[in-house]
Amino acid sequence: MNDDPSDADLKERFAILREQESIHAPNFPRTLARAHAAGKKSSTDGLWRRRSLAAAFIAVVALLGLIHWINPAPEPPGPLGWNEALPIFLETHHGESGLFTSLGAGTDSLLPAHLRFKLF
Amino acid sequence: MKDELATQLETLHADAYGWALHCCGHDPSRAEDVLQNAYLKLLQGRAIPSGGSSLKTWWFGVIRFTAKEESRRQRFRDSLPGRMLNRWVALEDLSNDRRPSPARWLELDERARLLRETLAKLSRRQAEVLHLVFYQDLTLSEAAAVMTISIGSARQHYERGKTRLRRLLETLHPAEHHE
Repeated sequence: MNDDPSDADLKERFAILREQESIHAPNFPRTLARAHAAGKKSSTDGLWRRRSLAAAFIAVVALLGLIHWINPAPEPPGPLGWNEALPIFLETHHGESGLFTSLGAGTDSLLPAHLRFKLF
Repeated sequence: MKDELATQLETLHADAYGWALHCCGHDPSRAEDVLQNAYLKLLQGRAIPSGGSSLKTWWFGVIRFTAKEESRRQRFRDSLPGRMLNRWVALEDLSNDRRPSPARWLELDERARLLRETLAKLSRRQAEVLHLVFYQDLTLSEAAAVMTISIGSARQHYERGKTRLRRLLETLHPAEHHE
């Protein structure tokens, strides 16, 4: 693939670019020495960075916990049970005729005793 | 690092720098950092030569991957959360201007600079494969291994890149192209 004669001009251009850039290549032993030094430094820096982030995270969680303890969010209202819902329903629909006769036989046995007289 | 490996890497050092320069958008200081980080990975045992491909192919793959990591870190540092974190934790010395000096740019031969500017107009993959084949003198299969793509894709990028590069050189600088 590299021996196509029509690529000669491109090869020449890239050769010039390569020659120019290699002049500025950093010295190999110096680069290796800097990598050694950077390896030692990064392990120390990384430790402090991780500790700082962990401390920030703990502080945020503690703050949220404190806020919740001082002012807890109100419990949302849950669904009403049968014993709570029926009196409310009866009070709302008191006097409506025929409403409960359609429920069928045996329905009255489902009602609490103190409410049965209201229907019949 | 073993002596034999160190010797081989030293012979590849100038080419590795050229590749790192290409991967970093021709920013010399970033290219030096990427090359240094790649050596650091080798020293720390985080990059180990594989027996499957040649040393040059493997090493260029490491440099390419390291350049991508550095690019991601730079994007984070440039983002708003990154800048806020920099101020608080002082991750880096922001006062150090790392842009190449104007004098540095003037040192480049006019033709080399023209080629570099024209390569910047190609897609990333096309520029990569042309650099690896013409600059680094790799075969297409070696270039495909460095770029971690199939040889068919590499060939496609190579052919299209070459055609587009020639057309751009002809269109943008016809006098230069016909010298």
